[in-house]
Amino acid sequence: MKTGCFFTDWIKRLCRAQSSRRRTLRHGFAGLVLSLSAAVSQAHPHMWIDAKVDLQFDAQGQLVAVAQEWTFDEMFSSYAKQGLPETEDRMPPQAELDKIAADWMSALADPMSHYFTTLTQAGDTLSVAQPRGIKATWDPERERLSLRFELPLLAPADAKQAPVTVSVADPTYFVAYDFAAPDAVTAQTAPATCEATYKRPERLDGAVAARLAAIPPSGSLPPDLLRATQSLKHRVELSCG
Amino acid sequence: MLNRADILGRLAICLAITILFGALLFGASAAAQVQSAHPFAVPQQTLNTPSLGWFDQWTGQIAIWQSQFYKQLTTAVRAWKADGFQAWWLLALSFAYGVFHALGPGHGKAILSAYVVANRETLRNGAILAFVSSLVQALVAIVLVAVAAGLMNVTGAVLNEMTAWLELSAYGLLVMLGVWLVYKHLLKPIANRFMSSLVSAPSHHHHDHHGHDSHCGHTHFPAPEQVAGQLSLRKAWGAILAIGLRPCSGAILVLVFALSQQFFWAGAAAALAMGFGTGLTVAALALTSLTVSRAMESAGGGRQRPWGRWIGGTLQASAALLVLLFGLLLFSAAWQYSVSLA
Repeated sequence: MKTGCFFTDWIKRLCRAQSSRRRTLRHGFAGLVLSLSAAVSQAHPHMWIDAKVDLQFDAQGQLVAVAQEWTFDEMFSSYAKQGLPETEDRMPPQAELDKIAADWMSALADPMSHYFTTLTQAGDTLSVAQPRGIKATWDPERERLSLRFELPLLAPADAKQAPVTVSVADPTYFVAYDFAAPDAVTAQTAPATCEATYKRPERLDGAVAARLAAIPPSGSLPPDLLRATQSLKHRVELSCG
Repeated sequence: MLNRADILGRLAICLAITILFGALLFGASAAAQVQSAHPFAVPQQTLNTPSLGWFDQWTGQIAIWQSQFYKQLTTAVRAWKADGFQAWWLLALSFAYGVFHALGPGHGKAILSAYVVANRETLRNGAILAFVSSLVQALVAIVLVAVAAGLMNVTGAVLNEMTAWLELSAYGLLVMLGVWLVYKHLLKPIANRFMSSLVSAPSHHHHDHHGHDSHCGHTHFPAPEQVAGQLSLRKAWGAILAIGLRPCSGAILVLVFALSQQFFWAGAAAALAMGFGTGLTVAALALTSLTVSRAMESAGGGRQRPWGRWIGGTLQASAALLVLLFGLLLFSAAWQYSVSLA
């Protein structure tokens, strides 16, 4: 609290690859306690990420990958850098940063977080392949750590047929994303007819919240509710004329 | 046998009160605990439901304030480094963070509120316990970061593991504290009553002439009025450590940040200010629960009358069970996390 103090969970989550034990736990004690208290998780960001999304296209003008850069807040950055060796100019060695980045990505690969990124087109979720171009960098000026990665689509998506939505969010609300930078959303290789627009998350209204709470943990969401939950995330909408 | 029916009735009422309070008051913090140990253990649908009802709205709002204070801590540490007169800004922010942090779901205030009711502490001792345990919590964070991060230069991942072990020990202590309280305030009174009903005539309910009623009363310690003014450390260390041994991660993070700025003392001061703020909130909540339980006892005529004594004893026994319940829930959550680490 959460209770208590909620900070370490994210760090733990990022620093450790997750074991499959968790899945069995989900149905055990945790489930019991959670059912006691219904939906308790409140928005309590304890970590801030300045995010950038770049949509990447192939020669045919189809969306092939989503590149992201997440810059962590100072507090988390200093915690992640703690204990790392330093070069003479007080920089963490790149080999150490690579190790951290690899750990983070394997933790983020957990189906529950799924890189905190979802791609949808006409109501369908687009599958992605293994992330590539993974790199962590330390900015000595701002004393902040950044993580870069690309999520390639399994099959190229043609945004001319239907708009593609890229949504970014931490379902546990532990991380608060910010897309305030002027170049937060880019689509440099996009065909001239395409436009990528950023949409800020909407507030959850009471009626939707009540319907969501009534759905059992194992149940699936009806399409309109799925749309409603998508609207709670940061979204980049790509439409091509 | 009337006495046996009475005992069973008391037991049932204690259990009912404990379960009710446990579910209402503690549900939130226990779930948060489990969730924090296993971030993905919670089904996604539920997680997309941020607030339902006034309680969640309230904790959600507190979380937002807390986050706002927290976000400015790094700027405040730098400002102090640049200009010593800016120290007050960091201290004020940390204090506010502590106050709001303790208002959100958390275990410290729930344990302490139940503990002081179970032990029928005086208001003064309740307040002292709240501040001491919060300051111990801050000191644990300061020592942990100073030694592990400052001297041994361990990584964040190792700090996490150390925190997890401290957490586990704290909850282990809490279970023991709960067992002891349940023995003292529930099992022992029942056993005494049962034994005396077997041994003596029904007229054993004479009211003592020496002010130390071990048959009907449920404290075998001197009456609180008699101990008022002194707080026995021997009696309270369990509660203080059960709360204080688990360092607040907000404090750990500000300490590590201060360390990275070669300005550790600012972090230590901030951690203490957080502890002071937390202590204030915990004290307020502990005093509230003490006052409410006193009022309920007085409504029954106070300790001098059978009804008042009955209400008081039942409240003490329920609070003791509640401490045990908190302990078991938190310990098993922390245990599962440690197992998943190993």
